[in-house]
Amino acid sequence: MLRLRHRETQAPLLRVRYADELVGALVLACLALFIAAVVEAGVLHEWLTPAARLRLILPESGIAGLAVGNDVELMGTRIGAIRAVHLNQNSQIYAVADIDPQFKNFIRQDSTATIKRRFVVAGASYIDLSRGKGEKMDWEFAELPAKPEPNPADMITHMLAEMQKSIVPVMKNAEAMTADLKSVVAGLKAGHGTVGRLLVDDTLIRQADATVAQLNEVIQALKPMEAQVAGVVKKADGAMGNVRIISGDLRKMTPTARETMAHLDTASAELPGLLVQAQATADSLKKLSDQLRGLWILGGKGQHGESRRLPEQAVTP
Amino acid sequence: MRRAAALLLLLAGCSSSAPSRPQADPAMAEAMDLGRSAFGLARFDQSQTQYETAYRRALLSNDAAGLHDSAYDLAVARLAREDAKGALVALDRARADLALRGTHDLPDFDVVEAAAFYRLGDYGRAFDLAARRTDQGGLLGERAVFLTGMAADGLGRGDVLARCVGRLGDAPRTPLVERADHAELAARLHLRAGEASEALTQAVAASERRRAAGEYRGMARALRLAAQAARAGGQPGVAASYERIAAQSEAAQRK
Repeated sequence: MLRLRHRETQAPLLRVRYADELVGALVLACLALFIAAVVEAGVLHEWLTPAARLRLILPESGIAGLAVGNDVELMGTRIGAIRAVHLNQNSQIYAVADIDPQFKNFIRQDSTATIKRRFVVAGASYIDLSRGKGEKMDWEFAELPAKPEPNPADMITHMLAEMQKSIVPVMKNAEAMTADLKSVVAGLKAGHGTVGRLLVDDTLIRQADATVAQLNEVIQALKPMEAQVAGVVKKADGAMGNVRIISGDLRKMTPTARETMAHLDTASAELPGLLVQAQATADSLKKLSDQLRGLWILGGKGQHGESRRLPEQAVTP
Repeated sequence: MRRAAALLLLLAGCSSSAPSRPQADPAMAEAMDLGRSAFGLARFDQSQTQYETAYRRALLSNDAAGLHDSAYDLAVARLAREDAKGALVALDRARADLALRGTHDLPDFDVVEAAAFYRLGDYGRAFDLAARRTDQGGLLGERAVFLTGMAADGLGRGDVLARCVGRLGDAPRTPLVERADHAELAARLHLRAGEASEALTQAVAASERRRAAGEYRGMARALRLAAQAARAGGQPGVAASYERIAAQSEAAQRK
């Protein structure tokens, strides 16, 4: 039988007189330490700072699978989430996104918002914001238009359609060309046209053979003249050599000829004056003869001195 | 002794006349002589070239008298080349150059300018310039009177034209050019008075005298005046003939 020993009368090992107060102080100290750690870690700051709100005007064609809770990314970093999707009075769909305030400076008025899918064509949609460099956003009413990323599948389909449009006419042309070629070959086989006759009738070939044979005979006949032609060419070569020598002489004479031409030019420029001088000399001779004729001793009446000025009678209205 | 004196007198009679004014610069003297000779041979372009050379030489040697003479001759040569504006330019330049050397009164320049303005149709300025030189003596005064009369006719001032006709002589011993001037002004006066036959007679006389004096430009002008008179006298055929002769003469001058 188990017998419990009750030691009611045993004295306490340690008697703490102010145990309750000490425990309370310890709890308060832990609480203060926790608050200090929270403040130090900035968690409180984050809690107290409200998130920036960005309105994204969604395209009229649809919201491309965007839903509440989808991510908002900037430069590959998640900076917020879609908080709500609304329809405004102008029947425009817009999404409200909460943005981490520390990224507000990267989102400017020239930033673009693109609705993408996580795995190109599948997966959850998200908003990819580009870093802006323009004017700062008015965060009281921040708004950006959002465009869906072109769907690669649509692009491939469109490209295939375009290729089909281009290839079909080419194929039709190829068919027509093949038909034409077929008719041409048929015509050739039937001996139509010059080429057809060449293929079918060998008369022309035989004539060509005969012509070649005649040409051979002509060439054989010309061979004796070859030596004469060589002599003529040699003489022509000599003549060309003479011409070259003459041209060399001419080149040497060119400076002299140029000088002569310059002299001729100078002389010809002086010719009018010379002519006038000659005329003036003749005029002077005439005057001399007049003067001689006017001499008293020769029976003339004498004359007075003459001014160099032109006579007043020359001034005519 | 008497024989020796007679021989000296004979030698003096045989001696040639001295030039009117000695030229310091031989190049300028030669250019002036060549210019005058070319002018006499109706080579007015060469004459102008020579007088321009003479003017440059006068500038070079600071010869005021040479500047005066060469500028006058240059302006007359340009007038002969039908370059009235060029003549005015040459005279303006020479006036400035001569004023720099203290010469301001240039009556011969006024007369040449009057002729140039008359050719340009500015009868008012031609009249002003010529009328203030009519008191000059000699041939220059005679030219001034003639130009005054021509300009007065252009301005329609018959009284001045009549006075000019009265001042020009028409005696047989009067120089031919002056008689031609008198006849031309008289023809204009008669034409203005409506006396066509007298005007025709005087105009024909003027053209004959101009032709005799070798002044063919003036001859063509007198022939046109004769045509005007003939037309006024009711002789259109005669007028057409005179017009055609004048046109042929003017065309030949231009070639």
